[in-house]
Amino acid sequence: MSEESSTKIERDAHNIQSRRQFMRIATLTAGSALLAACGESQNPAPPVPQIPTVAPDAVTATAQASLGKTYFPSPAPGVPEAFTLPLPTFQSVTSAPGRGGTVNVFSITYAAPETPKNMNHYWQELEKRLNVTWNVTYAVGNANYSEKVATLLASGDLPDLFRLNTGIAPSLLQAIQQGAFTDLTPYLTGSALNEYPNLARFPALLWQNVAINGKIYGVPRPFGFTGGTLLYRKDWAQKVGVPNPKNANDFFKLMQGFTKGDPDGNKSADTWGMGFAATGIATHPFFMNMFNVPNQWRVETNGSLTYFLQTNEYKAAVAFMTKMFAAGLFYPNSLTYTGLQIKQAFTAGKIGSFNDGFSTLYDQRTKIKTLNPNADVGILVPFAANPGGKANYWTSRGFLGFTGIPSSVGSNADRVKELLHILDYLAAPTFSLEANFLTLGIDGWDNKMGSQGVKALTPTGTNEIGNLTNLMSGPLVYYYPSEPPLAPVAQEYTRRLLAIGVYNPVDSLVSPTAMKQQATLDTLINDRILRIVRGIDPQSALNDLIKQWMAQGGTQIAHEYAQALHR
Amino acid sequence: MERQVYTDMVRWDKPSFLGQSILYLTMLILAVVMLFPFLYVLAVSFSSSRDVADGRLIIFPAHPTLAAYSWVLQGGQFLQGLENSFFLVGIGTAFNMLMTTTMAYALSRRGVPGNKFVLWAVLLTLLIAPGIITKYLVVKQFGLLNTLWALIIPGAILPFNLVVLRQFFLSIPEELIDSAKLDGANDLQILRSIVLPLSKAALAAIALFYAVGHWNSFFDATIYLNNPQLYPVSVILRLLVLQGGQSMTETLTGQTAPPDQTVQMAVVVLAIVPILLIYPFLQKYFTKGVLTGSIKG
Repeated sequence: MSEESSTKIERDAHNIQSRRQFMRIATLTAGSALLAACGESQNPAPPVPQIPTVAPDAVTATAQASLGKTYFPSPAPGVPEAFTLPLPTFQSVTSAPGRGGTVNVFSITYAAPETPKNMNHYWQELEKRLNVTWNVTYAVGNANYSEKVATLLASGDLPDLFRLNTGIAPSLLQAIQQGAFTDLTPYLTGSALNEYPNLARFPALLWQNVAINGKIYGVPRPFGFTGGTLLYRKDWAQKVGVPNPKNANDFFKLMQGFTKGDPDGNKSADTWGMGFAATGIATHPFFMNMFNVPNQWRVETNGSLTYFLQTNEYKAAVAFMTKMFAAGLFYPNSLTYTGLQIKQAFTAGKIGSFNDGFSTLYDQRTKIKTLNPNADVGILVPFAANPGGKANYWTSRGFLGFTGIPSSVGSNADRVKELLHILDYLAAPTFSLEANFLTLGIDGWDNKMGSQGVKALTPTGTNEIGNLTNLMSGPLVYYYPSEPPLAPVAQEYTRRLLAIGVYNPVDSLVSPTAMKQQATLDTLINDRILRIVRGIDPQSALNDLIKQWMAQGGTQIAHEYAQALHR
Repeated sequence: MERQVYTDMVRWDKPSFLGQSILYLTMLILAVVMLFPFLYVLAVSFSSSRDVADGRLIIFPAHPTLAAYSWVLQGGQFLQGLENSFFLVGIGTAFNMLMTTTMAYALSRRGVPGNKFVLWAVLLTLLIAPGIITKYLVVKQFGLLNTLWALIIPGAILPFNLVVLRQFFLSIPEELIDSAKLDGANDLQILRSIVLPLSKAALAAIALFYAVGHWNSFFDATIYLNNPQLYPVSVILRLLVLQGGQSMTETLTGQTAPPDQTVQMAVVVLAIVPILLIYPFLQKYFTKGVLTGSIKG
């Protein structure tokens, strides 16, 4: 990654991150509404009502008044804004982005097919607002994605907007490097980015992380920079007398309390300290974080790379996990359960803690409260295992896939700009006119006003909206209509986590050996570590594992990444 | 009938009471073991979220509910998927049978030019299968992409079924065919009036293989079909399971899906039910047909 472009991105984006962002939103609000009340005679749908947009001055005034009360701006880079009340609706795009043609999209679907276009009012309205014909082809879930991508690339029949997820289909990295997708760096860096106001709102770190070998090949879909976090039962922690663990010993006591201290008070030993999914034990985030294990790779002063497996910190982490297993503090079913089943075990009150993505916090709090109103779920921010040591937090790249434009389409600069304007529309921030439409559809038809003045999707709405525009969304914000006070709490958790955050230094780099061998090596490492943790193999087996990893491609991978890093 | 058999038998051939009861007991245990998974699937599909959370997913759910089924069946996508699957099974199997029987008959007659070569070419495809991309490109060039025919025409004749059917046709006495020829019948008439009526068992078995294959088609559907209205029911059910597994996002709290396991089990039940309904009627052909071709004459 070139030095000058990263600081340029950082400089430009820093301005946006400040509170003055709000003034910008207000000034962008145009007087004229984007949508007209349309009621076609042959269309039996209810006419789309005129959305009352708030005059710019009123938006600014409300924003200033709610600072610190219902609006909590981002305290640090990468930490989302938090709201306990929605903002007044504002307009973020001044004119329809499309020029009337057709846009073919390739994305992944995780839901049953949407209502067909001729009966789908949301779809028709979307096409009006974007001013294009919107056609979507889907891959059926993540599992189908890599095959579908392979056939699409081979057939040469590429869509205009291509959802790229190199995590699910690593072969895409090769396609990208060979020029299958347009290099969008000139369109999305520096002053050119300001043409797309919503994309310019993205955190600078996002643009840095999505770059591959220093070039931007697509617009990232923001997701939040948090990685795996440990969710735990705060009410149980209170009950067993360890409400505030500060080091590994405290943590061990907490786990013992969960397992042996009968935290649910039902007089039977049916609870355990932690559950884990066996396929993720080798790099279980919380233990990695407590012992300051580097996030996959560590860059040494001489420029070489050390794998987490080879570090002393990792040895200590594995020893601790073994100690916990030997003491019977892990949920026995962890050895066979999937991540989803562990999550369900937590909801059912069988385990006191488990690792999952940050967004599960709200989900779990709601689910558990329906079964047990006294339950309280929180996030345990990692602390140093030993006094005087350091803890870290493995952050993620901050996006869930990115949308690229195939080279065949990208040769026409005007077309690229049109497509980027469309993505800009889809990236509208929460509470904007556009975002409200994209997520909630047509008022009264796709959504209804529920209790407490919160709009909720109707079944019709869920079927109409589906995954039509899921390839892009606005930046993450914390807003929970059914539990408003959680938003600033979540923001504070995120701030504390990212403050000790470490990034994976090789995330956007390519290593040919890694593309071939990573999956095999990951399975090997996980199987062996599981054996060590269970006590089947001694701790010294870790040294043998390291040697094996090096022989089976590890050294080669380290060398290739080091080269790519210093290119 | 049983008693009649026993009275015909000599006293020391009658199975002893002890032996019989042990036999029955073993059979009962085996039956329970085999049936239990299906009963479990059924029970979970009728369970409520309360039962799932409590972890008490036993044979008779404490709070039975139809929530999982109504969630799967709402929105009409399931019925659309059923329509497509029925098309595949009906039209597809008919097409398969047409192609397979005519080819098997032709390959089973002596003296047909190119006989050995064609048979050899068919067996070669058993050994060498194309990759996804090559198959995709061929299907694309024939213009079959995004139609249900992409799931029917490529692979219309399965080499295994062809060989089995050919073997069966070979076992029909040549004299029958010759006498029909003497009466002036041409090949098509022979096939229709003599060979097919004699082969009912084999045809039923092969048709069943094809039909079940079409009902289960999933992978090809996801690759060749872009229009979601054409997805067969297997793909719809997979998507419903995926949808049920998603965590709630704040803005989309229109309705919460029932717990994932209940949705998955409801999906399994709905996918098996049509086959279960048809199977008893075809069972006698199936058991006879499975032995087809294994014993000569």
